[in-house]
Amino acid sequence: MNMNYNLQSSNLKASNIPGNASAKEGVKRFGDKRISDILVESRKTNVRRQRIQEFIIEELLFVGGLAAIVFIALIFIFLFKEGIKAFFLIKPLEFIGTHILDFDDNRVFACMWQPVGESGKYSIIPLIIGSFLVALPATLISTILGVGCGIYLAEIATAKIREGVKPAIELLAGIPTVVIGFLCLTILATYVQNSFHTTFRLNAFVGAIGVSMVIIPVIASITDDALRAVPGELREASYGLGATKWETIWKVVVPAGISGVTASIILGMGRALGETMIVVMATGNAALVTGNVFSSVRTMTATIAAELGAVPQGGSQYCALFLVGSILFFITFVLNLVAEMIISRMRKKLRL
Amino acid sequence: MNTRHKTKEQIKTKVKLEGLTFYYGKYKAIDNISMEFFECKVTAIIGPSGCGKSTLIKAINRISEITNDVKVEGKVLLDNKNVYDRDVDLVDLRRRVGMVFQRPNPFPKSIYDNVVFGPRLFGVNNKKQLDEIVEYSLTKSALWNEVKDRLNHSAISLSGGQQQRLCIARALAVDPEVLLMDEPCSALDPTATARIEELIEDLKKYYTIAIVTHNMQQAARISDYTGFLLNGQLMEYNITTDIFTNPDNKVTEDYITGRFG
Repeated sequence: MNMNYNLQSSNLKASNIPGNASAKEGVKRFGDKRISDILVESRKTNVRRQRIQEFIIEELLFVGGLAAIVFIALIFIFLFKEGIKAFFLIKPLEFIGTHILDFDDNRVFACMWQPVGESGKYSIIPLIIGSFLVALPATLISTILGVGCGIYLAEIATAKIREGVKPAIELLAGIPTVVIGFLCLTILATYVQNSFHTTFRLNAFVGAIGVSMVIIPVIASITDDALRAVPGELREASYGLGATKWETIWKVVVPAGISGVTASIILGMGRALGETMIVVMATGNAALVTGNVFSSVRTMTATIAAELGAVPQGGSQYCALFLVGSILFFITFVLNLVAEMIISRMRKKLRL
Repeated sequence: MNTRHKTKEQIKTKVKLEGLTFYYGKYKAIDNISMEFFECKVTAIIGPSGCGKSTLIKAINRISEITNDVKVEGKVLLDNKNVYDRDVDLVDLRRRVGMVFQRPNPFPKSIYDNVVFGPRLFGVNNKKQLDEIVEYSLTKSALWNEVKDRLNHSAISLSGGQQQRLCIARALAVDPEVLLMDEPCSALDPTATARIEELIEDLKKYYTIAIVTHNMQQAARISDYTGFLLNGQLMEYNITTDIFTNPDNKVTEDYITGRFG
């Protein structure tokens, strides 16, 4: 049978198809038209409007998506442009440390952030140390609690408990950080000082506990998602071989979802490094080079937040702060990238 | 229901269901089924989707109750011991009654680690013993020659048919007595299916096999006994050749000849 369907002019009406026209009985008709004829006709009148609509919607979505990328790129460029200027105003070595005279008039090399006056000192070492001295303990605390919570939610909690607990945890992420900072400053700091007899009332450890309030929900939530993405068939297989619930969780589910769990920890650490309000309020803001978590510290974020509003534009300190911002941006960017790569590797591994 | 044993050889009952009724919550998935699975025989369970085939075999190793809210009446006797008794050790039960699932579900670990997963659970850590278990199980599941040079590769890198044979090897590694197979070929192509069927033919020398299948030709090819399930009830249970050539029940005949289902 040779038939030429001219789809462009839509003459593919039911009545045109041989053999079909004979099926007159029992087919719903409006006058002499079948349902298909009505659909084809009404589509003809709609088609132009539809095309315009779709064109506009597609373009709008494209512009929206592009805008997000452009904004990020602009932030990136602006941050680095201002940051680079610091190298022209300040000797690169000074970002590590400067020679100063100590109390006995000896020249010593010191890492100090003291960006005031003619001989401002711009060592970013204490700031980086400060940031990690808060972020690492915070990540450690939140890993233990957050991953545990995620495993509980995904594997142990009944549906009812989960329905109640998960929103509550996500609510914790929604508490304004200034409120958490306030609680750390007023209540937690005293408690920590009394328990550990620390020299400084406000210190990195207090800040770390505060910051973990923010990242525990992040880690718990992503861990929960990662473990729930592990196919139920693997659990069945494990039980089928005689594994107990605990063995199944520990030897099958967690290893299968380990990439997601790792990614959640890295993302949490990124949040911890970027957290500002809590550390401004709770860590004491003394730019010290120290390895003691019970010492006051000054993080990169806190430095920027506290100082940038009060410095003249284009000056040494202004540019140095942008450099600190660039470094922070770079660190968190790398962390997020690594997390993203780990998650995509897990997808591949589980064939999701 | 009528079970006639035409064979003259001595057959021993391995698993016996007595008035088994199985509920998911309030839904009755299996309704008062009594049947036997014989040692070193393949018993196929056929029937339309949702008739309770999978539920029936999963009742034997009590795996449904892990994720579902279930209620069981009646008995499942494994060597004359009710597996629903209070003193039954589930770990031991599931070692004795191995299971192969519908979709190949190897763990995202190496081929070696997949096979030794069971033995390791039971605390076997002797490398030499584990190596021997791996070779034995993979040989039994007809996979050894294909994978012996890459035991450390990820199990996910295998083809679907190989993955399913790996899952069989994994089940064999704990030396079970009964093998439950829940549509083990439904996700495989015809060639892989044929290999699994050959394998089942070989495995029945050592194990009691219960296989759920959608494919009636498969049931006819590989099984010694066939049970036909409809709406949770056992309509007919008999020697496979009788079921397919001379069914007692009109409904069975309609299903087998493809009139519904």
